[in-house]
Amino acid sequence: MMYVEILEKGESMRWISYVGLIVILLLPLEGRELIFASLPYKNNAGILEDFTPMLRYLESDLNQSVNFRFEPSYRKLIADFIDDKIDMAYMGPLPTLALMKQDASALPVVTFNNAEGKNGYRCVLVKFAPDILPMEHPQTLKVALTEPLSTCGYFSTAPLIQTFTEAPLSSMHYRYVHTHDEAALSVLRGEFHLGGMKESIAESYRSLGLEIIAYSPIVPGFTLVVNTQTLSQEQIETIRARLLNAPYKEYASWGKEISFGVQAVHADTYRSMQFFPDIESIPQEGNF
Amino acid sequence: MKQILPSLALLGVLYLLFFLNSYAVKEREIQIILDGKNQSLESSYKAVTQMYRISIENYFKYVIMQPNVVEILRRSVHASEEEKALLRGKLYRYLYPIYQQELVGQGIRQLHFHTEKGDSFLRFHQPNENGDALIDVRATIKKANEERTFVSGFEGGRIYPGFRYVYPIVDQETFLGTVELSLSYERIVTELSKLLNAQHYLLLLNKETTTDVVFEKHQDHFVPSTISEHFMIENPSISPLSNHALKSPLLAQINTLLRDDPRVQKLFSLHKAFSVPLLLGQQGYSINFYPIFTIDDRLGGYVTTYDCAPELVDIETKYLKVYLLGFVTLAILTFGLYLLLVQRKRIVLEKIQFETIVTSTVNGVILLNTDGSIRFVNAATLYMLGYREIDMLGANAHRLIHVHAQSSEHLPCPIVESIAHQRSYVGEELFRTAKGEHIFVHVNLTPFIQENRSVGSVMIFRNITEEKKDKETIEHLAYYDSLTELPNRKLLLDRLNYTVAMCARAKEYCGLLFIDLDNFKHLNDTLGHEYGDVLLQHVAKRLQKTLRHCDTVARFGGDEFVVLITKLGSEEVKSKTQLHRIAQKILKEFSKPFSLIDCDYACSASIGGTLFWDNSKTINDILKDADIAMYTVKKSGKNEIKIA
Repeated sequence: MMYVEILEKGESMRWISYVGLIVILLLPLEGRELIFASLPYKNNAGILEDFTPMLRYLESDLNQSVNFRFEPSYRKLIADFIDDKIDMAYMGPLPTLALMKQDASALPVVTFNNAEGKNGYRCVLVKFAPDILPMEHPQTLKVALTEPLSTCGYFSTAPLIQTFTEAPLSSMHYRYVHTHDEAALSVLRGEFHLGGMKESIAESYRSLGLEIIAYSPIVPGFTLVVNTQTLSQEQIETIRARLLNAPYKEYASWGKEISFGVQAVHADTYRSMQFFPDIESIPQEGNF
Repeated sequence: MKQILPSLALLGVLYLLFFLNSYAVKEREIQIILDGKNQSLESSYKAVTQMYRISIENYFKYVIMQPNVVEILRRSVHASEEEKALLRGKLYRYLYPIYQQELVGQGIRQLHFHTEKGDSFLRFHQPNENGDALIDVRATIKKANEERTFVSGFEGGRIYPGFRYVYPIVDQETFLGTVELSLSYERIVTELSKLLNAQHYLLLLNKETTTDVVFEKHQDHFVPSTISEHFMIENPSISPLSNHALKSPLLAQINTLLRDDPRVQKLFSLHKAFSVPLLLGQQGYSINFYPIFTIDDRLGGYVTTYDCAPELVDIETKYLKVYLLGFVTLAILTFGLYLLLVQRKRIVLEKIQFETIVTSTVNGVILLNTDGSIRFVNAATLYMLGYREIDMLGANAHRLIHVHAQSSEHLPCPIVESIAHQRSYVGEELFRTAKGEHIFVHVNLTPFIQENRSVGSVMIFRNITEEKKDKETIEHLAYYDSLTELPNRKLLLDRLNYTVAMCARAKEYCGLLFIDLDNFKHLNDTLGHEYGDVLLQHVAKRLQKTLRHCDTVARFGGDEFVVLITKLGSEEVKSKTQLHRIAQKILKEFSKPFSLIDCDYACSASIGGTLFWDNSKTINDILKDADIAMYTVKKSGKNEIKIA
C-alpha cells in the first residue's frame, strides 16, 4: 500500500516535472517579441507607416509585441527568413514562390486584396507622359526595375516590354532600383525611359505626369508568409483568423497597399504563376 | 545636564542654519554651472539655426529661384489638373539633382512647393502626396502666403515637424505660391555637436503643436517620449537619433528619473529654458532643455541635450566635506561653549559663594590694589569703620584707616610693605573709624593673585578691641585682687621670685613684711562682711600710700597683706632697722581710724618681717619666716612688729 502510494506520488511528480519543463521551454517562445519584415517596396518610414496599424491589431490577440526588421533587399529578406530571423513577412507572389521553393517552413496564410476588393493585382509599364521614346532604337531604352525577385520586376516587366517595344528587355539597358516608388521616381527624374512596378504605385504618381503604357495579367496578391519553424500552429491560426476576421474599419486604416482586406490562401492561388519562366533565369543584376 | 540640552539645541540650530546656508550656496554654484550649459545650448542652437537661415536663403535665391522654375510655377497657376501633373513632374525632374546633391547633402529634409492657394504642390520628400490643403494647419505657410513675406520657425507638419524656412515666390508682382525648405533635427544636432560636447541629443516634440497635426497614416513616425506624456519623439525605427538615445541604458535611467520628478514636469509647463542636475553613480549629468516655439508663439518642443557634468560631482564632494567639517567645527565650538557655560556657572556660583561669604562674614574684607588703593570693601568693613562705600573705594587704605602706635611711628608700615612685596602679613593693627575712634583689629593680609600675577592684596580683619579689653581684664584678675586692686598672691610670688634673683645679683638686702589685721573676724562677725571689705580696701590704699612705688603691696589672702621692700642696703643690721622702721610707719598709719560705711573703725595689725639678700632662702622660706614672725606677734598681744 505504502509502496503504491509512493509510486503514484513518483508518477505524478514526474508528470509535474514534464509539464514544468514544457512550460519553461515554451516561456521564451511565448515571451519573446515576434519579428515582421516587409519587402523593401518603400523606404523604412513608409513600411513603418503601412504596417504598424496591422501589427498592433495582431499584437492584441497574440499577446506579444511585434517589431520590424527592415531588410535592404528581397534576397536578404528571403535569406533571413530561411535563417529563422523572421516570423512573418509581407511579400509579393514571386518572392513567395521563391521562398517556398527554398524553405518548406514558409507558409502563406493570407493575400491582400486590391482596391476593388479582389485578390491579385497587376504590374504595369510606365513612362513620363511628356517624354518621347526612341522607339526606332529600342536597344537605347533604359528600363527601371524593382528587384530581381519582385513580381513586378524583371519577371513581369520583360513580357510587357516585349509587347510594347517588340524588343526583348535583355537587349535594353535595365537596372534594379529596389523599390516600386524608386522605379516611378527614377522615370519621373528622367533617369529611365520606362519602369515596371505595381499598378497601385504607378497610379499614385499620376499626379506627377507618370503614364501607364502597359498592364500585365493579374497575379496573386501580396501575401503574409509565416514561419512555421518559429511560430506555433496556434499562433499561426490566431494570425490567420485575426486577419480574415478583421473588420472593414480596422483594415481600412492600414497602409494603402494592405487596406482593402484579405483572403485566405488556397492551394491553387499560385497555380497560374507556375507557368511563368523559371525564377532562376531572372538576372540578379542590371546590365548597365 | 542642564547645559547639555541647550548646547545640543544650539548645535542643532547652528548646524541647521549652516546647512541651509551651505545648501543655498551649493545650489547657486550648481545653478551657475547649469545656466552656463543652458546658455551654451541656447547660443549654439541660435548660431546653428541662424547659419542655416543664411545658407538656405542663398539656396532659395540662387538655386531654386531659376527662370525655369518660375516659369513652371507661373504656368501651373492657371493649369488644369492634367497640365499641373505634367508641370509637377517637370519641376520634380528639373530640381531633383539640386535637391539630392545640394539640399539633402546639407541636411535639408524637405523641399516643398505650395500653390498660391496654400495647397501642397510638390513635396520632394514625398512627391506622390500633393494637393492637400495646408493653409489651415501650417501657420508658416499661411503667414508667408498672406503677408508675402519670408517666415521661419519650428513647426509641425503633415508628415514631419521641422525647422521651416518659407519664402513667397513672386514674379513680376504675381504671387505664384510659396516654397519651403525644412531641416531635420538630426541636421541641427550634427551642427550642435560641433559646438557642444553633449553625450546625447533629443528633440521633444510638443504633441499639441506638432505630432497632432501629422497625417494619421504618418502618426507612427512618432512614439511617446519617456520623459513626459506631453511630448513625443521621432520613431527610433526611422530616426537614428532617437534610436541611439533610446538604446542607451543611461538615458533610459535618466528619463525615468525626470519623468518621476514632479518639479521637472512642472518646469516643462513653464515653456522656459531649464537644466536639471543629476548624479548617477560617480558621474554628474546636466540635462538641458531649450524651448523652441512655433511662429504663433506656441511651444513646439524642447531641444534636449544630455551633458556630462563632472563639476557636479566635485561640488557634491566639496559640500559633503563642508557639511562634515562644519559639523565637526560646530560640535567643537559647542563643546567649548558647553565647557564655557559650565565654567561660567561655576564662576557665578563661586562668585555668589564668595559674595555671600564676604557679605555675610563679620570680618572686614578689603581688596587693595598694588598701590594700596581700595578696590572693594564688604558690608562688615563699612559697619566696623563707619564709612560709606563711596568714601572708601579708590582711597588709600593706609592713609584712610591705618593708625600707627606712637612707639612704632618711625617704623615702615607692615601692611604697606607686605602689599609692596606681595607678602602675607598677620598681625594686630590699629584702625581709625570714620568718627576718628581707634579700634584694634586683627589683620590677615594675603596677596591677591589673578592670572599668575599679583593684582593687589586681600585684607581680612576683625575688630578685637573688646577682645583685647577682655583679655586685659582677665589678665588683671589673674594677678590682682579684685577687692583691693592690689597684686594677688600669684603676682606677689612672681615678683618675690624676681626680687630674690635681683637682690642676689645686686648684693642688696630686701625685706618682706607679713601683715595680718587684728580682730578682723570680729569686725566681719559684728558689722558684716561689707564693712570688712571696705576696711580691706582702705587698708590697701593706706599701704600703697605709705610705701614707695618700687615696693610691692599684695593681698595675700583674707586679712593678710604682704609688703615686699627692695633696696634696703647691703648691710644687714641697717637693712633690718630700715625694715622695722617701715613696719612702724605702717602701724602708725593703721593707728588712724578707718572710715567705714557709716562709722569709724580703729584697726591694728600684727606685722612679721624678714630680710633676704641672696638666693640661699627660697621664697617659701622667706614667706614662712615672715609668717612665723607675724604669729609670734599675734601670740604676744598683737599690734606689734617682729623682724626675724
